[in-house]
Amino acid sequence: MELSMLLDEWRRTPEFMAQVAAWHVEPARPAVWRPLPGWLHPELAAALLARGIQALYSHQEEAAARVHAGQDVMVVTPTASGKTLCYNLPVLDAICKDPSVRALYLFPTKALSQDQVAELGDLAGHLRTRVHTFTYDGDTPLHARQKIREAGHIVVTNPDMLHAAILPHHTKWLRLFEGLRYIVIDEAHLYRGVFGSHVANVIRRLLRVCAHYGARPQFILSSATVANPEDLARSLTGRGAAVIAESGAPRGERHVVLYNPPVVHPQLGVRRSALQEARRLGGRLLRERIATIAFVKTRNQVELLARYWQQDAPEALRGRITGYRGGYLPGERRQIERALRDGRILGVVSTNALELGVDIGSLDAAIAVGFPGSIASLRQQFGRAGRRHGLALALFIANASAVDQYLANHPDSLLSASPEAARLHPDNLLILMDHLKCAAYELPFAAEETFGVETTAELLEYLASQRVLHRGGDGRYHWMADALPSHAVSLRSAAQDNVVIVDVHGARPQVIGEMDRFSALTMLHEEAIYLHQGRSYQVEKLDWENGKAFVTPVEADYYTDAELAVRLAVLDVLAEEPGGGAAPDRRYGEVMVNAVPTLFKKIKFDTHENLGWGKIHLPEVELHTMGFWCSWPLSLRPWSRTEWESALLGAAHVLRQAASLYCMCAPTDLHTAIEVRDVLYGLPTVYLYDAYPGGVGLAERVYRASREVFATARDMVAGCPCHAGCPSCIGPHVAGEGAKAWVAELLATVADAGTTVEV
Amino acid sequence: MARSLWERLQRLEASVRRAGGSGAPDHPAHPAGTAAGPAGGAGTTHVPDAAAAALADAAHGKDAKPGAPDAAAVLRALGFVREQGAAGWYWVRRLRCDRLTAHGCVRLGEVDHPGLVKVVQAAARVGAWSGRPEDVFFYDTESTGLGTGAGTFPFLHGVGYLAEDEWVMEQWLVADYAEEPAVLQAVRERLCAPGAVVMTFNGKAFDWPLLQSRLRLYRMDFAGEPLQADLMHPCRRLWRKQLEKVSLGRLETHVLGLTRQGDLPGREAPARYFAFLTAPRAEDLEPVLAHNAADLCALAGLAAVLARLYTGEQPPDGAHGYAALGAWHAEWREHEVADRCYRAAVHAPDADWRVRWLASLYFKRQGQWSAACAVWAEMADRHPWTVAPLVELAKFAEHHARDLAAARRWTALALERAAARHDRSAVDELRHRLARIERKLAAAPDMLHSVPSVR
Repeated sequence: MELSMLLDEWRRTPEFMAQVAAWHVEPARPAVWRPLPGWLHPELAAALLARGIQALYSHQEEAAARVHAGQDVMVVTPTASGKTLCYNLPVLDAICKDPSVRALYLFPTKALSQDQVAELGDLAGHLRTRVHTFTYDGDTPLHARQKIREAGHIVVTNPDMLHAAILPHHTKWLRLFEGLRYIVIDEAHLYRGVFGSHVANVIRRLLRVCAHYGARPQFILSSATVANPEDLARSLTGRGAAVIAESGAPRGERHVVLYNPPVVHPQLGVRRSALQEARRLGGRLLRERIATIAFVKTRNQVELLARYWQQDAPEALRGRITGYRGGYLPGERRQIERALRDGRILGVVSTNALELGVDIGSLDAAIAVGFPGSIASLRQQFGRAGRRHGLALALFIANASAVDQYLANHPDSLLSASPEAARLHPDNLLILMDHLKCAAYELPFAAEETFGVETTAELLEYLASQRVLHRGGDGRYHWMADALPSHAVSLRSAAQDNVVIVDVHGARPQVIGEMDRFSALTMLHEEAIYLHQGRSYQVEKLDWENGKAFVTPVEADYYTDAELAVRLAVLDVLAEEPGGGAAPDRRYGEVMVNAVPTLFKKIKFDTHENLGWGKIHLPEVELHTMGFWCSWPLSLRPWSRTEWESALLGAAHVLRQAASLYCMCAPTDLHTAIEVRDVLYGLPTVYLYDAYPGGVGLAERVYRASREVFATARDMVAGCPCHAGCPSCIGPHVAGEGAKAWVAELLATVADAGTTVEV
Repeated sequence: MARSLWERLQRLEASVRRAGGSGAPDHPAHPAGTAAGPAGGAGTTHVPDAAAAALADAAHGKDAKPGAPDAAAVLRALGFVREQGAAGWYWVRRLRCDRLTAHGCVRLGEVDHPGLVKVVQAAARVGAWSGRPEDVFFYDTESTGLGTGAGTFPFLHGVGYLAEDEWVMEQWLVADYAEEPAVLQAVRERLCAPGAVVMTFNGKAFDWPLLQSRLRLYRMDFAGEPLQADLMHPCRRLWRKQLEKVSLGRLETHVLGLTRQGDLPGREAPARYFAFLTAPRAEDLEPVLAHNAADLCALAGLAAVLARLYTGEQPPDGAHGYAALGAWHAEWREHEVADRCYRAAVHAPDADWRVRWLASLYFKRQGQWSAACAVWAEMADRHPWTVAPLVELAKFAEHHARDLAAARRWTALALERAAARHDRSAVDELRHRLARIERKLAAAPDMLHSVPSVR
């Protein structure tokens, strides 16, 4: 059955339509063409014609023209709109006109850069001018590196290589830096949060080195749709960029369907699980042989859903359904990508790993199971369905969380509202200091030089006092150690210190995956069930010191879910806003958090019932970070201690959801804690803090926008159909008949305070 | 409650346990091992022969103020002088001694040895040396780290050369980071004489790229880059067999017959330098300077020994030395000498399979069949497992001597040995050969009775 017929069938099914919060048809859109620009080098124009390109899409022409005019640009158009030509065109043109011109391409992942080099080579192959394009990454053989440094017109690499291999050795890259005219940053929206903050600092270092060699390169950035493309460009590069957001590429018709699973327990407001709905609806699509991709939020869910689909599928299709996620080994992943491209695989379940531009060909349907944390991410997931022509389905299945329910109840916020902002925080003190050291190693710092922040001089002086830098007779700060500072800094905190997962069942132990330490606290503790490629493994032993988890395959009908216990201390208040009256005091500052996993629950597949629990024995993890907190006067309500506790727990739960929606981060990037009597003032307090050492600006944004965040949180609670509070609105740990009302009251004290003041 | 940026940084770094920063130096301000000895430190660090005397002279010639906090005073006490060059002021010290000063088994002035042209030839790939002894510069540096990243730099450049009747060592110290360009300019001017050759040990991989990196950093082009000759490779060829690790120190002992006493390990040099920068003390720097000077002397000594070897003035260590010399002379098309070397090699008491094999191949290439066959026969005899020389003998008998009977005999023996070693591909190849010889024999049975031409 074709997709259009299945959609018609669903439209005629009242039970299905009853759950549809919105059904939006994005009409097919024709291409907007522009002629090839006149300034294009004749060789390049001929090469384009040879490849059948006689005209450009409007956004390609605009980007090329602006770059040609010397501007920095940021191209923000949908997946598969031909973004790569936006930068390849001006870069190749410049090289044809002057072979000493160099360009640096930055891609966030290796797989992506390999795709792009192939495409670039295809176009450059039609030129008479020899354009040397090289990928420089960890796999580049040593003997080839010398040639790349000297002769590479276009060097394709990733931020990690730039940070660890290129910048610290910049004198060997003299040709590149002297001639560097373009820096291309693709998939710029991925450089947010901690990783983005690192990358922004790497780019500060890059520009410093360029300036030393007398080069002032232009930036060409491309990104998925975000609300703040210009801000993003500015925080990444330190400079403004012309934003090109209007796509001229054609698009096939796409049906966007927001689906909210039916309520099965009206009293508690419990809905059928989104995963079960994805199992049913996705299963149907696959039975009709419609190529489908589902995006789920966790690695566990990848395995679960892939297993369900395989179980439900007819025999012949079972081998054509697979999971795909971060923990798989690279070879495994490449194999899946190839099979997706050539159609051997029909159904795939993924975490957001496939959001990247890796070319997997076009699929007919994309299912987002639960909100992925940002509208931009969701749109990218939708973008996986239908690339240029033909009908496609993008299906969002809301889960029980407050955010999802909020979105299901406000479909406009998904369909028409602008996507969120991608933010990074390059001035996180720890990150900044790391890169300041790297930068000082690369080139000495002049005393008056600034590196991103105005306090640079103070930071340099601090490093000098630590005997990391030495101030020379010329007043400049020089590196003073025999070590390479970049060795100790990893741009992706998760990649730094991983736990390797070893299957010790067979005759020879085998590594089946890896995981960052923080996730390992709750996913690889002893007795945890670890799911990989649809199989269950039990963790037999966790060697925390050496980062190894030893697992054996088991036949288990349950999975595990662990909890963290948290202790928090305020170190310093950086900003505060007294409430007055019923409104709470809000503060922002440095906090110290100690976290330790406490216990885990065993939860049955299918029914999700609790089968038992166990203790986790792992060391405490300490986190020094930035937090936002809010303390209410005890006089607000004559609640008992337990009542306050319930109200605070509920408020914390929903505030975390609202804040992550507002900050475009995963809810796991922000943690919460509560105290009925906080240490400093003895007041009931809710804390939200960044999950990264030193903070990445999330808590600060919550502080600045607390009225909006509290208002969203209040709407989430109010919009929940339950009567007295349920796991999806005020969280699973809240007890008390009046809890929902209490939480709403607490939230209102801030949400409403704003309006009265402003009016 | 607000805290200063410093306090925040300290607390933050402490919380992630990287106080002092990643890769920060954790060496004490004043490293251990500097207790004994006055300024000059000739007592703590024994520098071979000549250099020690020169050092002592340099140190005591000036009014020494050990431990003085003033860098200039400390440097003067160590014999440094302040000079101004094209790119600014810098510190340099010059150690001089008579060119006849003995250094182990050679004299420092032997750089004017006529064999030096061969040393240059063996150590450098391209380029031309003027041929004048005063254009030979020995170069060694001490740097702030082992990597070659942009932030690692040589803080001490040592250059040794002959000037009239003296052996001179010049040491430029980057006493302040800001003075590095001035130092580089001075070093570059010294090394960039037309027709000059710069000799180093492992400089090709380390000192030289580092120097170039620094020049690039300061945008100082190396106009007319001098010829660079690295002695490590020739030394490895000559002495690899005797020495497990061909390092400058080992060679110094084995080749020059010198043993350094109390020498500062090279890896401690950066810490000494950083300590000097923070609080200048002669005791910290002096061992680094002595180490560098000793390395320069060792370099000159090695070059002299190599020159003697290449001219045949001094015999090499044994079979391997002879074979290595033979290979060089063959490369240089000096076949008479090469021939002598290889013959000496196979007759040396420590000749082994490899030496014999290399020699035999050389004889074969030169058409010296009787010599080649003699070596092969000897190998067949001495190494009862070897197959290759038998194959060579068989080939010679079949194609050159046209002695099919001998060819059959050698091939059969080779086959027997190859079979015993379960060398499948050799067995196949030899069976093929044997069959061909049998066919030829059947066609011309009288060949059975021809006189063997070997032996």
